[in-house]
Amino acid sequence: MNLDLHCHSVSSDDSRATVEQYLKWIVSLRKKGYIVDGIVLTEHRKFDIDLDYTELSDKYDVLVLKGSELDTRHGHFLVYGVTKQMLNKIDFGNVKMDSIELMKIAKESGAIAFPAHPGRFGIGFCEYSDSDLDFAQVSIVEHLNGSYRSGELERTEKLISDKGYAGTGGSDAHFVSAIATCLTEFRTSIHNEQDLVSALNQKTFRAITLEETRKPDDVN
Amino acid sequence: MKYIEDIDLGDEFGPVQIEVRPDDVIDFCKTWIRDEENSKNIFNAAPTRFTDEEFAKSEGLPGAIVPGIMSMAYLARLLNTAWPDGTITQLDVVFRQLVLHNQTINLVGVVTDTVSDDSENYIECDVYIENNEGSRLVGGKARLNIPTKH
Repeated sequence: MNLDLHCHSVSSDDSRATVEQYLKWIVSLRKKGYIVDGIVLTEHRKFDIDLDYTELSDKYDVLVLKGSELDTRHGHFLVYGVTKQMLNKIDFGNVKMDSIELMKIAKESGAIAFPAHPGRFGIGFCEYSDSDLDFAQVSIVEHLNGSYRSGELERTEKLISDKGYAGTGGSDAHFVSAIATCLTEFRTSIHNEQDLVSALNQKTFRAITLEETRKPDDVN
Repeated sequence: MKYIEDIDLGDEFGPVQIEVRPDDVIDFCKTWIRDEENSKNIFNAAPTRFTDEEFAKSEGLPGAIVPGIMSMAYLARLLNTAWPDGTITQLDVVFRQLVLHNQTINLVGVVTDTVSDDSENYIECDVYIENNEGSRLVGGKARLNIPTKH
């Protein structure tokens, strides 16, 4: 099952794509032979627990889940399986939150948090991973990110190699045509956020590019 | 002429390749920096981050940069080149990285939606300014009214 674990809709201030436009695009990708099963919306610094994408998801037959991308003092972090309990304990708008505390509260709440685009210059976890801070809770990082600039993937892959982390994939799309350029392939079926957290904790996944999802018969 | 009926979601256009020459940026600034109320050109030769390498560096930039509105003009050029009979009704951009002088940039786009009914005929596109490494410096969403055969 292939999910894009990192994308932004117009709910994020720097995105210009609606959720429905993403889903239409995914339908067009499927017609070209690509296998994309769903997306996880990771809006910047927010989580709307009441937003329900079931209708759109059913209309286009694309799984739509919700997460968040938070700014911390140790770089950006992706969060999946956000619960009311977690929302009560963490101010998602706090751009200087402690990532160690975030990961701890996420785990206690049944969620999971880990570094987004760690190789990104300036705001990636690589800038902090060798500090004296105790990042023992980190066991997963975002490996493939569709918005990497020159040199950032290499930094990420060195981090993964040095620390033995598992790696996810996400497009980090802010525009329609960027959705699903990078994905995470899961060995288990995922129907909701709880399934996603469980699969991430079991580390039954790998990062892949869109090209890797193409059915063999459709490869020219 | 290109008609709405001939356009499909996923159609790509471009690339238009541009060498960003400092003289072109200065010419753009001469046209752009105007006192609209008095219809006068008020550009002066005082250095700015858009026109002078050293001034830009003194502001902490890596070099002289292309004004955001000029980047938008580049994207408008891409759209007008691809759809000469279309009318741009929306161009909304996000500036993600600096566009520097003396850089080769590629303008590319892709159709992300087509709408054709009794009242309107338009396409929506993603448009990008990329550097030679394929890194996206500026991204945008555009809407164009397109002629119909009917």
